[in-house]
Amino acid sequence: MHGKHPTSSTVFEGCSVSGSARELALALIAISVAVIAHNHDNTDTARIPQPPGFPERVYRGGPCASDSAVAALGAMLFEDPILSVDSSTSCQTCHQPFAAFAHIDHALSHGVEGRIGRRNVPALQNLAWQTSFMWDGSIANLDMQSLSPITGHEEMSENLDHLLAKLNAHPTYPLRFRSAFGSDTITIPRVLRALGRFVAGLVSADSRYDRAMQGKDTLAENEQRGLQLFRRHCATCHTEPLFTNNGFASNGLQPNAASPDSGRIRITHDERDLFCFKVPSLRNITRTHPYMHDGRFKRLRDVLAHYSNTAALPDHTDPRVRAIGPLSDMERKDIIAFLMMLE
Amino acid sequence: MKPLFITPSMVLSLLLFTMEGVFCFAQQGALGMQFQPTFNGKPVTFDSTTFLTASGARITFSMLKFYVSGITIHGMDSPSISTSDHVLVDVTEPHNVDVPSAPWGRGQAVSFTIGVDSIVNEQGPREGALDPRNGMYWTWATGYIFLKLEGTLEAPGVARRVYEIHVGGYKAPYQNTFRVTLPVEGRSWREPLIVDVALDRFFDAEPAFDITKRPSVTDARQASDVIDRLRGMFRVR
Repeated sequence: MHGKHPTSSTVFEGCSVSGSARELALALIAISVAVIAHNHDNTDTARIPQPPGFPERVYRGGPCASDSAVAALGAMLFEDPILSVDSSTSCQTCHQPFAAFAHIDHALSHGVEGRIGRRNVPALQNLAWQTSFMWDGSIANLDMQSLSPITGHEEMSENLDHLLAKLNAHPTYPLRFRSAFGSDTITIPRVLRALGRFVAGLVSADSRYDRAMQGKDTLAENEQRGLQLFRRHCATCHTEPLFTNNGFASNGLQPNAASPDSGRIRITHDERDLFCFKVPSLRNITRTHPYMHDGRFKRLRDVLAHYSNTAALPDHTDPRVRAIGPLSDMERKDIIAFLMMLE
Repeated sequence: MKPLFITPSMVLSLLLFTMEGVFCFAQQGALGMQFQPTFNGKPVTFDSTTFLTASGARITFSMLKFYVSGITIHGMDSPSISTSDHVLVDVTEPHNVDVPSAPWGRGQAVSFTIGVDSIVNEQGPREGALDPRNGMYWTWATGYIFLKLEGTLEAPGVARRVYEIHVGGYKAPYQNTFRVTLPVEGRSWREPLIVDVALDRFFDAEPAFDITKRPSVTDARQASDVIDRLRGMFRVR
């Protein structure tokens, strides 16, 4: 949490409450600041941080009894294989905490019964600032996102009624839902909001890059050169400080037999979206290999080689990618040195 | 000062005015709107009755569900708009959708929206009718499914199979929510308004829809082709 003390207008951002409850809570703050200060379950203390330099958060959450209990419930659900049809696969199976919640060494997502998905598991970070989800941007709301992996045939393949029956029969979930939402009624919207709130709290804002930007760390010469090259060639799409512009682009990868994916056009039917995929954040990039929407590159140097090989880029390549132009070996190494600061 | 005469007509007016007030009061929650599926004027029994389309397919119906919102009675000084949230109408179950109250004989038309707009679609999970558990949600694109029409088809040379018409899509250029406006002039509003869902209009409105060639409509672009057919199904009996 950064140093700025939360003002009354931002107290409830992580957890919007009804007008009367809000008034009551504000009155309580006025009467007894000390009580609030010691109540760690209050929405005030558990809210998602707003790192300096970050834009305004997109994620808003919804009504609840305790924001921190919702986040804790979401964390419990996230690592629990109960979400999958045969209770074999959890969110964490593919979104590994030590890999910035991506899946190291796996090009495509894995699901129940050894099923393989269509796309590479993305890192989960700074999702509270993200405006759409999935590689094609098909999902508009973070709290709705987990419905896709839970019910998806190639992922957890679970039926929502079956999931509710399992959660209701569980020894502790009803109690967890009570602390989070005020009653032990388990509903799908509550499951989704808990998961959404948990992943919304995964914030990457304290890398060496961040500290250097705040004057708390210094850049080595090669990192400094890498930063300048990055800003010239990459930052139009991978815009600081989130290292994504939340947009979509065709980055010049040719679809092939292993990955016949046509990208965002599948959901928009707009020709301009042919082979377009979300611009991913580059934070923690050294932990999230392999790279690209289909995981076709194992190493960062493969990615840089692809962007550098302008002559080989197909017609559908975004002009911003084409404009990168050939990069020397030294330039590529410098850019990678800078990217390593994003961990 | 002129003496105040109370004429019989004034008494009648006062009485009618009072009665209207009483009726309005009595109408709260008492009336509503019911959707009844028909095919060429005959009631539809789900999972059993077979109907013949103009293009020669023998079809049955197994499901008809849709979201209704924004029910409005027009024709008064200002329209009377329902404040209730989205209602998921499952035509295979008995149902009575609340409509706003309107003074006796004063409503000229009723209108409502089929579908879920972009704001609600992007708001995040909601309890009740909009709970994704109801199966009215596309997880892979474009959010809520506004309407589901399903059944079986069979035709000469076409083996019996399932058809699925799923309509959704809230993003341009495939914004597929649609508004239905129905004349209701002179209705008493003291009994539920029966809205026919004339399913034959979906299949047989010109040009006829050959369900054997398009047995599956499952995304926003495909759905945009059938919106006018769907709108045409709704009629006041």
